[in-house]
Amino acid sequence: MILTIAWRNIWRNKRRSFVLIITIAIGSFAILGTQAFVNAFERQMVNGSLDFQTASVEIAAPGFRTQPSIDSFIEQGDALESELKAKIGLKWSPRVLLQGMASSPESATAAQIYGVVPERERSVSLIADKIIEGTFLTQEGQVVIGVDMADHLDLRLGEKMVLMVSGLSKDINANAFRIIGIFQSGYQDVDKMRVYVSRHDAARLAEYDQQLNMVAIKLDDPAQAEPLANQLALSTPGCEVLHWRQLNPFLVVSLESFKYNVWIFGGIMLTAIAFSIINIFLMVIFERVREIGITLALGAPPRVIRAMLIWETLFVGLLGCFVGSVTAFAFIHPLTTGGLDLSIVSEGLGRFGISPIIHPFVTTSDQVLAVLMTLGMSVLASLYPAIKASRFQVVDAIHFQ
Amino acid sequence: MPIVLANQLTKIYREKDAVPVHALDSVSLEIEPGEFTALVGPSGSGKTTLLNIIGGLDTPTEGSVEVDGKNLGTLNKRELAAFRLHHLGFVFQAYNLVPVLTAEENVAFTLLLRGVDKQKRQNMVRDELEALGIEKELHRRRPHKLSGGQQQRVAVARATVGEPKLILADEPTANLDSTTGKRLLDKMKSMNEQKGITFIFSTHDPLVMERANRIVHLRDGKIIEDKRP
Repeated sequence: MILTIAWRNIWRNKRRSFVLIITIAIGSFAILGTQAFVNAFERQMVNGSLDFQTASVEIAAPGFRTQPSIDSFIEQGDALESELKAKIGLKWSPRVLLQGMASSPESATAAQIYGVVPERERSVSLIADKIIEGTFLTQEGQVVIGVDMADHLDLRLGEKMVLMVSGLSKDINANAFRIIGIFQSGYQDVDKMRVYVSRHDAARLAEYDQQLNMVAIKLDDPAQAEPLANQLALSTPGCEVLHWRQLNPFLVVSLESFKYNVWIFGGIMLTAIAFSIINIFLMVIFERVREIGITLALGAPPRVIRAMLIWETLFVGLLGCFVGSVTAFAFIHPLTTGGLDLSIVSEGLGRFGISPIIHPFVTTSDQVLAVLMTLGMSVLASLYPAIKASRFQVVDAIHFQ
Repeated sequence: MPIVLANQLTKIYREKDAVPVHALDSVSLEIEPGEFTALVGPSGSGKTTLLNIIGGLDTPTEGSVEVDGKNLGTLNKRELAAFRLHHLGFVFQAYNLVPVLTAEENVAFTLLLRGVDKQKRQNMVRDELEALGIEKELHRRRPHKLSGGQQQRVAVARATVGEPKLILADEPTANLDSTTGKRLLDKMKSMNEQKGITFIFSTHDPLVMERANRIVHLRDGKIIEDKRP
């Protein structure tokens, strides 16, 4: 009967309850909406990072990541490749990575030269899918460059460019390559600095034989990167095996900061809701002083009064959460499937590794958490009016006019 | 043993910047089980204050009150609530039914608080409402769809359904026309006679005084007359 009273009490002042339900719904919607965008940004950042920046797991010579010197290489590259080939289903790509210079007749710029085996590189990176002109590497003597580098060097598809590298002998080695493809990843650093040539071309520039600088490994589930890295570290002594969280600490910090922002925003929304609830329920108990007094006079213990008001808040909270969740679903679902084009701010987003089209989404656990947090805050907010009501002096309350 | 034993009850209301008001001044009173008592007197004579203290709704400034052998001054707030629930029934002037509950739910409310099981509760509620002449089709109506007389009968049913030993009624007929008031008082009188429930009324109503077997007259917080007609 306590629940019955609580439920029916909601509908005694429909307008007021409606306002409170809408307030909670807006808060719930805002929390879910924010979470959806943060999820999208996070996923985009992680996937983008793993598709274009670092791999899920990278095996490199010790210190290569911090000091990518030409002298820092995996000596037994062929042995490592044989070992990885034995791991059926693992997507990996051997790379010769060089720091050098790219130049055209017009200009020159610093370049990160990726010497790759095209078929293998396709399995760990989406660069080949981001070719906007031409194709990915098909043979030696070709180069694929980013759109920003092409603009900077004023180069077109089919034209030649020169890559220069200081080789193992410290001599400057240079070679001309024909541009077979131009890619646009959406990541400014990648589009501006990275070039792809065949592994053999890169090895020639570096004066390598079977040496490698790195093996990139791609996993479908980024969460599995750390266990795999630990496992590979044991089987590849003398190499440094790092997973993406170690390779991209900036990304990890950004992800953490996104989480904190959601918590802060959620906290502000929930606090606003809490004050609305406190305010409205203080009005409610003021209107029901006499009724509460009579209930206490009849012998209801104070906890019954508290329970009635808390349940009333819970019901209002549930209705608000339901309305907020349904509205959020109706708003977010089309964006989840269709995506949202943020190209108007894509330049800024690119710095954070976010592609201009994002797909906001919420998980079941996000929804459950948002509902629980909203309901929890509603109950907390209702405690003050509920306790106040349960402490009414009976004799004063029953004669309240 | 008296069901109510009030000993030297004094109640002084002190408000800031105001002269203290002696609502009760050393009132002593014994009520025997089964009495149908009317506390009468002009407004401000202390009737309602005395009723509130006997009902454990208010505390005396001085003196003590025992109800059914229990000294109410020794009970804390929670114990007082439990005592009221199990030993007392209240009828108020303005009916004061819970507006969101139906007639039968209002009557069942105190039984629910007592932990009476559903089936027994339903039977007790139905019997009580019928005993007070509330037709079955009214049982599921909310208070605003009942007349004043019907609401007050439901309020009496709420007070009597748990068969308390003592019912305290504060001006129960004040808002009723004389015919309805008479009918209600007859029902209460018959409960008093048949079930032995003790009734104490605070009232101005001659209809109550006609039926009372004891009339306690108060003025200025003192008992000036206590007669058994």
